Amino acid sequence: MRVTPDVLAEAGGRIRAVLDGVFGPLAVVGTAFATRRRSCRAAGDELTPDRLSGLREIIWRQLGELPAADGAGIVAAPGVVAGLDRHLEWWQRTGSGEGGPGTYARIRLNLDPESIDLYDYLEMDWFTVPRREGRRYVYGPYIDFSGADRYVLTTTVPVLDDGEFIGVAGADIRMSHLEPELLAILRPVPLPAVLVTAERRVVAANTARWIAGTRVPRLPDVADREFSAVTEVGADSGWRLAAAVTPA
Amino acid sequence: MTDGRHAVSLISPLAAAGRADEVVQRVSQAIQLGLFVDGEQLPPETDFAAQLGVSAMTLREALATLREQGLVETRRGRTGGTFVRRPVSPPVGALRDRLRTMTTSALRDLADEQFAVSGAAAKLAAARASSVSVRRLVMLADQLAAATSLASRIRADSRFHIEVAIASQSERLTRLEVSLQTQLAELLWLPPDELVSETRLADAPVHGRGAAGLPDPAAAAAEHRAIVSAIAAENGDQARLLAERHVERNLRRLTALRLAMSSDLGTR
Repeated sequence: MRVTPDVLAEAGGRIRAVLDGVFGPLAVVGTAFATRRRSCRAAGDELTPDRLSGLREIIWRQLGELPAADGAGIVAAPGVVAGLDRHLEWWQRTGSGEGGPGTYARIRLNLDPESIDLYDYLEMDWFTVPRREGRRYVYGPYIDFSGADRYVLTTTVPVLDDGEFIGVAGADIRMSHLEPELLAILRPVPLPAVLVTAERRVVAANTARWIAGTRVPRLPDVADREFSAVTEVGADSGWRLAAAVTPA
Repeated sequence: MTDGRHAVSLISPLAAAGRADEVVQRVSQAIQLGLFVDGEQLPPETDFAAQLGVSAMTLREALATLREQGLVETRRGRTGGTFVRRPVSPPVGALRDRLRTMTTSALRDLADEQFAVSGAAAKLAAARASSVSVRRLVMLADQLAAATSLASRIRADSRFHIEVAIASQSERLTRLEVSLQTQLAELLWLPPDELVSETRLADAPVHGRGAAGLPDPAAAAAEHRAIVSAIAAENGDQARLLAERHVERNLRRLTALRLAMSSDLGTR
């Protein structure tokens, strides 16, 4: 039995749409960040943490658009905010109240460069890849103990001001919320299908042949006898969706 | 024989036994993991309670416990508030007293749990670790080798083991490892009593120091590096074996340290 590449490509397209649905609100936050930076520069003012914090209501609104997100915000490049090496304006859902006060709380991380406990995002892939390659990035799934205390994907978009990289806008997407969406897309595929990251990690599968969070020995490829069709998901995810040759 | 009454004691307490306990655990873990800067002010009680999703009363109860544990302090007045207290240098006297109250079989039991958790985490990490996790593990092993203070040794050591659990992709194993590190890491790096260090340990050959109870960061860092190598090589059985041996050696050292204590105040 073979699955037509069309069926798989269509499922891949729906997964891409899920990811684009995450990136959309991030682009809104990123644009607000760049606009704030530009208007500060035009007025000859320094972009202070205080001035950046004026964007929090935009971040809250976008979090409202992203029920799967645990948190979202802005992570600045060195020197962009008041000459600070590191600064972030990141908000997390608190689990209390929907839309009311206390719905979101600002995350506190250790950004003291002298501390052994420094949360050094300048070294983290979700920051370095958008900076270096000027593209969106999907990191994970992984256990984010320092931020979200959950199994998440971190999604980021680069933010540019007149071509200068000034940071990223990002969100932590909870796998507990994303997995049902992915399974709804994978279930109708009539053959065993697996969604893997570029790091060979299983994001989701429609059969117990592959277990989420584990890694497959090789990236699925049509040259492999095991798979009848493979499609790139796109949306800068590096994800691949593959359908096996034989039923489960 | 197990009769009904005894069997009841084997049932673990419910995780949600008390919301306040849960808050205490989460906040002390955050401090343990270094998410708070020493001296950092916690948010106002109403905000913090909302952030954690608990009532103000539950939060106050939790803060009282944290205060008793010396992890936060509350100052009154205009510049008042609740502040994180992570002493630069851990209270060696208090830690010695804690170790003194533990029996060697209690230490062994604690190590048994770590044996299960760390061994499984290492095995799973070898199959699942991301390249980012492997890089972090190498960095943390180097940090331990270079650490000179008691506090920095505790941090680098416990962070390493927590990162192995994170690399395993298991939230549950990660929580267990954090809780184990909270109980074990500080004791592990205690310098021995003066009595011991002056007499028996001074004569101990370098390779015998670990067994005699003297903390040996270079040896521990070498063991950590070997575990990372096995994880990076995706050799799960080897990673598990090395992690288990590491726990066994730590237990031997802790037991030696405990036995070398000048007095037995175990029942105090």
